[in-house]
Amino acid sequence: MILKPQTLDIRIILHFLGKIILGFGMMMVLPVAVSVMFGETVPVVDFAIGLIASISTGVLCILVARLDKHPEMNWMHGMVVVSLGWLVCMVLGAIPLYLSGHWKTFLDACFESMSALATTGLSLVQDLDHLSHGANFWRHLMMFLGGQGIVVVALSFLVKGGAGAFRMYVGEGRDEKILPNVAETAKFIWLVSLVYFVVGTLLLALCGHLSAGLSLREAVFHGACIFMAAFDTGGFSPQSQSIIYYQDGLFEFGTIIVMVWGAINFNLHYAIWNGKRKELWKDIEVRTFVITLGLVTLLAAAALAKGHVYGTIIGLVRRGLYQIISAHTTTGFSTIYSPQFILEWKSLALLAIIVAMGMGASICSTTGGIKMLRIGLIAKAFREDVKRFLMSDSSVVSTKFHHLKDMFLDDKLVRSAALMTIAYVLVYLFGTAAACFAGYPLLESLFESTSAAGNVGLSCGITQVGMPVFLKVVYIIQMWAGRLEFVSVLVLGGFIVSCIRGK
Amino acid sequence: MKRRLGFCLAAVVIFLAMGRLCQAASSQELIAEAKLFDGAHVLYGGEVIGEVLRRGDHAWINVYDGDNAIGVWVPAVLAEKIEHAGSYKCSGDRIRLHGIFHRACPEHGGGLDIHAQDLLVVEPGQQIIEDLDDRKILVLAVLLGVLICLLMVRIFLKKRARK
Amino acid sequence: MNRIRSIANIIVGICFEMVFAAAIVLWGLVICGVAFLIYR
Repeated sequence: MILKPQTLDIRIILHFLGKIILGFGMMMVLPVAVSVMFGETVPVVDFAIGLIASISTGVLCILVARLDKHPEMNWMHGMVVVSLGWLVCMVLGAIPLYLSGHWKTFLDACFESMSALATTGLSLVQDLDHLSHGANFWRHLMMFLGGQGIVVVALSFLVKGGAGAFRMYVGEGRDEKILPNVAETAKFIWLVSLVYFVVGTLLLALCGHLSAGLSLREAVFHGACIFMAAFDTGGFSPQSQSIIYYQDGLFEFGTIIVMVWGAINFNLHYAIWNGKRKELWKDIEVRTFVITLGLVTLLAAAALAKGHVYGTIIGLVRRGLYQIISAHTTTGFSTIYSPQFILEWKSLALLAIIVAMGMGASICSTTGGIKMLRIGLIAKAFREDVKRFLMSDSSVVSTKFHHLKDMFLDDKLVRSAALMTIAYVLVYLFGTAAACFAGYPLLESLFESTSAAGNVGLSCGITQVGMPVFLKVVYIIQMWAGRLEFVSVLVLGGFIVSCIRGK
Repeated sequence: MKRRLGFCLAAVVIFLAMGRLCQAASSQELIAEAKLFDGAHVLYGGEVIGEVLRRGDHAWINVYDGDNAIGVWVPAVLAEKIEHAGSYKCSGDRIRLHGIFHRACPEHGGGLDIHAQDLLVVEPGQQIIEDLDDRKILVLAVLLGVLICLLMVRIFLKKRARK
Repeated sequence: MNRIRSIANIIVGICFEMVFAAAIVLWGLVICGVAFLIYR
């Protein structure tokens, strides 16, 4: 029998939802500051509307669901808060974007907002090159917030750490704590991100100013935006041409450095920052990443070189390897135009890039996709099974792997890794079917669907303002579910069913 | 209007005078038919966006024709002609140019670009005056009122709870 | 003293990760180079 949620359940959910909305809404102060700095007036009003709408919604939620005591949040509460929180933040984040007039419909602005929060990078913006600095900064800031996690934002400032907080943290697709306390973990995630923000922005601004030829002010602005999009493996860029705009190899190299930083597990950052640098090459995730990157690069490079797509080795690296690294780290920056994937890249190269997008990078980083730990574990499990057949019946086969510490491969771990992998593959196929239904060819459909659900953001041309409305909704759901790693989304579904059918 | 017409006429005359077999192409055509246009002389036009990125005796400009922006490699002397590049506050100079199109430029790391040989500003860019919609102010005021009410209710409820 | 050491560790860590990222590019470059030379 399904139990109907009680008023207290709904009050707990609303209360924490309100806090998340408040945390998220307050961040709109930053684009206001940027607009003021660049002397823009209208965006200030747009963001003021967004800011006050968000704060009002947050305060209203907290008021409606006043809690006298602090009741313990259970797993269901945590998961529902997170999945609902992401949807509400998508809508609130879309308000200032829509008001800017650069998005045709509010759904398009919501698409952009979810794409940013889920660090995907697919965009429906129109005339991006004339968008205000404030709105442009907000698109990138949403990536920064979504990448670190909007729950992490709330945990850092507004919610006290505890078992309930941990449940929300897990709901956001993170299952590893870095420090014993989840609030401390959230703060550490922000520390790493902010330190890298300073270093990365400086690096990219220098590349932009000295090598690409941007003016100093624009170099700093572009540096900050591109850093947020690269470190959070998002893939938005301030200009419509993505990275092509800069027309500069050194700047591209700088973005690769930041993308790889973003692909590293936060736990690994913690270990390296504490002097345990050997962890970097001992970790199963990094090893798997290096191997899979090598394989997909080999496939793509062979296909592109055989087809003489790029006549020089530099061309092969700047247009081929760049796309592969961008896809594998699930960033989505691009140095070629979207249609060129289908028109010029050979099928094998496309297959390689789709596989790279589907796999993603580290758990507990900002990347999307299946993730390296799961791929690594499944590969180890296969090897163990083969070993078992080769050895005598009486021998005991056990496999060890290193992920932060030495661990034994047990069936439970492999089971959960395999389940999650199957879930991702199914979602990739679901999106492919939806696009095929809309009349797009199979290869394009698979490419775009993997890009959306893997939170990559590379596009082969399907994502356009004129695409069918239902496909926009499908991609929004894919981005949302892919970022939250399904569980909390499924729990939300279960919660809604229990509200309707429960007794 | 007269000035604009003059510019257009001048553009046509100059490009006809060149007497070269140039094919006018949009960015969509250039990207979709890149293999066909590769190495050909093309006529391309649009608005200069972003910034003029100077590189020694040359510069990069990105020219947006309504669908895509394409990078154009221009000698610094020609780049001098551009005074406005499109941004939030300014519309960029609308230019016409002719040059050699590359699908995967060997000189510039395999990028799709045009090496301009000549360039003409058809319509100079100008400042965009921000237009603030009054309805936005109204919405802002209403929302502010709602927020103040909500905060007052919150303070009232807190005080009552303390009692 | 401990604080200085931890800050130094962070700076070295960042540089280390930068070298790692550059090594990733190099790794890709080598593979691309091999593919390019084979099919030249």
